[in-house]
Amino acid sequence: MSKKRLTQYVLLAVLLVLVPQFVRSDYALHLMIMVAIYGILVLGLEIILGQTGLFSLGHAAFFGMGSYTSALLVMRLGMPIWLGIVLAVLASGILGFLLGFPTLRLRGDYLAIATLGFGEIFGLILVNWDSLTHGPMGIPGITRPEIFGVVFDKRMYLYLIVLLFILALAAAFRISNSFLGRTFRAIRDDEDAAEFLGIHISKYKILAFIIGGMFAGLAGGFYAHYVTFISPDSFTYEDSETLLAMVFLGGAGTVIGPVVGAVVLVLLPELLSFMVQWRMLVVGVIMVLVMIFRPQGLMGGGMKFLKIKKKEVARIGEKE
Amino acid sequence: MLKVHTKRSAATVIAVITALGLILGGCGSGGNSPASSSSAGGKLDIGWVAPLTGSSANDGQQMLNGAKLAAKEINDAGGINGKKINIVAQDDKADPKEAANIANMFAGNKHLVAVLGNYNSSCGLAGAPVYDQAKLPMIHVGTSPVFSQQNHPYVFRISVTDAFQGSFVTQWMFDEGHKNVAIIYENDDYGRGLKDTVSSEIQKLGGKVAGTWSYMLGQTRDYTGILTDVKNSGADAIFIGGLYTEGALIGKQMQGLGIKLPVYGTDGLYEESLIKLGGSAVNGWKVSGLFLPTENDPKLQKFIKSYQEAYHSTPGTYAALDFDAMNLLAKVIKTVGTDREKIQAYLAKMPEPFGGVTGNIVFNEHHDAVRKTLKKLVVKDSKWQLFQQ
Amino acid sequence: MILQQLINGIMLGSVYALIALGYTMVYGVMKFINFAHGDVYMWGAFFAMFLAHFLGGQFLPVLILTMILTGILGVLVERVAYKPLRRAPRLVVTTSALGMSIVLSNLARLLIGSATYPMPKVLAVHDFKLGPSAVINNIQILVLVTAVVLMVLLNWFVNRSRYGKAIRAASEDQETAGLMGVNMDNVVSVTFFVGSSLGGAAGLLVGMYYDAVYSTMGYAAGLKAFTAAILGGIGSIPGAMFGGLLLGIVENFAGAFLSNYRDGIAFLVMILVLLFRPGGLFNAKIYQKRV
Repeated sequence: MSKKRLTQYVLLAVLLVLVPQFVRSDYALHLMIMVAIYGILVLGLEIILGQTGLFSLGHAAFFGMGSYTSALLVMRLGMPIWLGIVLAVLASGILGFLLGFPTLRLRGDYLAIATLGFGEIFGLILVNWDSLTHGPMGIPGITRPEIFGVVFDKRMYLYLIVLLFILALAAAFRISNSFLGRTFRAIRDDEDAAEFLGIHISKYKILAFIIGGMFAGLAGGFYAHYVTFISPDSFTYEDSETLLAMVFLGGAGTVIGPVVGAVVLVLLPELLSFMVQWRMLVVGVIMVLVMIFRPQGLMGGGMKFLKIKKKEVARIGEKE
Repeated sequence: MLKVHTKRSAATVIAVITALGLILGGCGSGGNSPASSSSAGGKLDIGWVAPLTGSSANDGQQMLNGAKLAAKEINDAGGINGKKINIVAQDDKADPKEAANIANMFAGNKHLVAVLGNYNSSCGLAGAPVYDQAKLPMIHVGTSPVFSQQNHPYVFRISVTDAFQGSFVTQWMFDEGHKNVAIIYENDDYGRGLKDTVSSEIQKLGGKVAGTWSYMLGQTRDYTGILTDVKNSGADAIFIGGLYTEGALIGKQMQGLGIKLPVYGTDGLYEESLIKLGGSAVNGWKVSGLFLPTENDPKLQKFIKSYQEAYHSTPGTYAALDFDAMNLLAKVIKTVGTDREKIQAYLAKMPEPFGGVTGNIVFNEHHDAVRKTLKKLVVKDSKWQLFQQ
Repeated sequence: MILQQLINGIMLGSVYALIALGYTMVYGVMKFINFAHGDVYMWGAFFAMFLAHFLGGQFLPVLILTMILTGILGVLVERVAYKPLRRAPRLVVTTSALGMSIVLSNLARLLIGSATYPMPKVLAVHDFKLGPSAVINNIQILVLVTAVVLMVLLNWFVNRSRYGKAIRAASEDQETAGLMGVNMDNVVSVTFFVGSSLGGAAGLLVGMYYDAVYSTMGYAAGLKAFTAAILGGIGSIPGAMFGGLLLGIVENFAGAFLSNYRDGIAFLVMILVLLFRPGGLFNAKIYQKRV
């Protein structure tokens, strides 16, 4: 690590510690927390969709799985929250395996509709399995984390989620730059060619679902203990759609792009909240405009400081 | 090469996000409230939140109409202690995540005196911990029993509880000799609550449930499958635990299938739209309700008349509930001032019931509105009328 | 009882099938899921509502005008949101379609309102008894007949007409078709016009059948129709028809016997079908086979 880089990191760390201290408004803290939660969520979808090219419309199910796992383990079995969140990550990973396995034969839009179906079925189970999930009433009063006997306040939540987000971001970059990431992209760009090169396609596709699911499980576990109320309404198809839009808005395949997409789509409706009735219309118009004028996404190729080849981004989803 | 650059870009972007946080922090600390709130004469900011987009948008809109009408009447009469009510309306999209966002926005707005809100129980429950923490009183129309279990000190519910309505209608069905009831309900907390109460009440009274069928609010449009099965179940009456749009569809499809069973429901069905959409198919439907446009109560007559003038339609349950909630708040503020804790204390221990258009309201220890009676309403000649034996 | 449930299922299925055709047409040529189609269908229902209000009980004029208006809307949507993206990866177009779907449904809410509106009477209802316990009415028969007629016409159009030829050529290979003198812009416009006008017809028929029109009706119906299109094998016209009917029947029986899991069972059947036939029931190459 060069001296310059070191200074950069130290500066960044200091900034991250200090900034929340100066934010007076709980609302702003809350929005930053939501941005970070969505940031982790889209990093998972980025691995499934952006890197591996698996068109998944059921990402909200992983989010829900994480939330419910941790909430139920902590509330019913009295587990410590930290363990609950770790197990939530595992459970969502297992759900990723369960979902990835049967869908191996499906490609493109058929995969999309199958994952959509899984997501809907997952939602119905949440609604109908009352004895476990408490049905549509949801689970209220979920335990808040505490440290040295002090219950978390918003600022502490923010520090925790930013820490988790940085870990997730680092993991996503590592995966993207490793052999694993290159394999994922090989499958995305040309499945047949990848197979010809001796890549075990099924294994890596399932792995993409597992890793993506684990990211969402982390976000879900944190979310449950932050908002302290979860219900099936929070993990619907519309949420999967929003996550999908975040990935493409920011730029699929760029790792950082989807995070930017999450920042935009979480904050934009809030910044537009003075328009009340009109804001969703404006959000829709902006989505269309961004796609028309920056089809590669906000952070996709063409931006000099990113130096990611436009070609690489543009290739996603072209091949069937 | 790529590695280095992406890492640097990551740093750049984190910095951008942090900067964004700073901006948000700057504007969030006061930007959401009107700057003029301290100006002469002054305003009283009341938060309002419910779905204004998505499949429940219509109910949210009606609630807003009711609240706005009450605010306008109060302001025209000189406001509260000289201050005019200003409604800060927000849309929760019927999404608990968005409801939590808005609860935080409201909690950070120091000018807000109280909040009216949330149509969906799940949205109310997502926001409730935030309102408690910010000590911001909130009057909610949700009915989920979870509220009572959780006992949120700052959240009050103005609507009729499922338990009260459910047992009221069950008794009514029994009085009319229906002892084998088919229950069709909305598969969410509202419909579930009603289904559970009605099922257990029927059994308590010695009758039986012919079967229960559920549908998804805003999604299910075809009830022919359910209704054909209901017809075969041998039920002698149908109870609908749901809202008017779905109710009207069920009615019309019953007519199409030639099913002529008596239908009962609760205040969720009480709406002009049920008749507008259902036409002759909903004639004879019996519904428990809070008020009737034709009643001779001057307060109610005034409400109905001004609502019709302003919005060219007859108010239903939700418009009336928000109208009452706003008037109740105005009364409390007039009495105890704008201190949030005092407002909470007043609502928690009301010295006298508040006489609203939906009847007398007083909150119990769980902060549920206690109602003494409900009205028996029936659709007759395509009009809502009082049920007569 | 079984017969009645079957009739109910076929009714629901033919509605899904009509909407599914729009997804399939567009997919055949453009190879992307037009998420805005459900909302185009919703606008079709609103056009039909206004036309029925002004024209009264004249079914055919209302149907034809609705189809023309909705077709024009479809072409407009394509011009605005998809045409600039002709060369972009199709998932980008999909995102644009998601945005367009939000725009269309919110426009309807803002311009018309969020209430549920009844459809003005286009036809009087007559019931027909089928056996001891089954009923069907003339509107249901009309929905079914119109759906079948439109599908037969569409099949003829795609397989026999000059434009159909161009559409098939374009769906095979856009570049080669272009070199052979097929004007891609025209082909795409015609495709969107035809697909959307079928959505408009579905809007009218569904509006008549359920007698209810509202700004969010495109969402649930679009989701199901899209599922039906994939189930049948997206890009295949008989596939859309068959997928729609199958989905409608399964959903109806599931709704009666296991109503809590109604949609879940429909999706489960779909997943199972896809597992054994990963290309859908009619794994036909787009527009190649004739019925």
